[in-house]
Amino acid sequence: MKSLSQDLGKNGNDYATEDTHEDLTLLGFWLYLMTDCLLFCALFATWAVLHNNTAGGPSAHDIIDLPYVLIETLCLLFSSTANGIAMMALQRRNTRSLLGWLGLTGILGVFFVAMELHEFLHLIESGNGPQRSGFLSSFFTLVGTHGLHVSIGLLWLLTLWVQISRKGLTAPIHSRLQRFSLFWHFLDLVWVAVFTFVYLIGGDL
Amino acid sequence: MKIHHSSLSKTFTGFVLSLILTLGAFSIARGWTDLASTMRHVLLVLLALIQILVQLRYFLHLDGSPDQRWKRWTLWYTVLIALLLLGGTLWIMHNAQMHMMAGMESS
Repeated sequence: MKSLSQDLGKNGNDYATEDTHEDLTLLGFWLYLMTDCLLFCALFATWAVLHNNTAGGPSAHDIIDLPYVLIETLCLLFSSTANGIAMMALQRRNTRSLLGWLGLTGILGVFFVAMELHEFLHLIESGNGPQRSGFLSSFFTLVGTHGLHVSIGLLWLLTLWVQISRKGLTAPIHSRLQRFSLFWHFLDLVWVAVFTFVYLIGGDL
Repeated sequence: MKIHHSSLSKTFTGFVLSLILTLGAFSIARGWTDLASTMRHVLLVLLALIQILVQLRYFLHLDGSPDQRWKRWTLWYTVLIALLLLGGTLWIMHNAQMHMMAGMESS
């Protein structure tokens, strides 16, 4: 990807063309992630404006249980790491190891989503749902959007897992795994911002 | 295929650094209550920034190689727009709130 203006056809052999195509596909996905970054940025800005507007309801300090969030955070970090190890199994073309590590990636992801859902349900049951105050609206939207991303990622991972176990490591599956890996690591990166601002700093204001 | 090859040591480094930074951030938020809260928040933001850089480097395999130039350029552009979006929103909404409070005082 030295320059995008470089004509694909100028590459002397098919191998190089495939190379450039693969790079462009990954760059395209990277661009999507960048736009996703801006989506989260808008939600962070909304939260930053509304986090004091509790309308007599609970503040972040009242609803946040830090040890619980720490376990959630570690689930996602372990999941992201397991995904990194899976990608190394992919390079060695070790299908068994790849499926194992991707499985672990998924299970840890499910734990994360389950913990978040439990947190949300608990809040809603105690009358502190998103409609309670401006703060809770922005909290549910920001954290929920991230959780939705993780859930969709899990669905994607499941389809990839089934594809690998049925068809083996074909070129399209290899390419999809590269993009899934970017997506999954990106979601852990966004979570770093979420737990720092919404939970650690927000709970301390 | 020209895929950025990750190695076990790179992933492990990224994991250990992220783990230390995460545990550090949580213990600062919970334990360091003697520290002024502004100082604590600055530290937390700093740790988050470092962790984001660590994960970009070790998990998303972003580095200074020439074939990643477009990734870097688009990332910098995103950072610019993100800062404009965040800074602009906070500035305008803070201003609006100030004006509304001024109105309440005079009435």
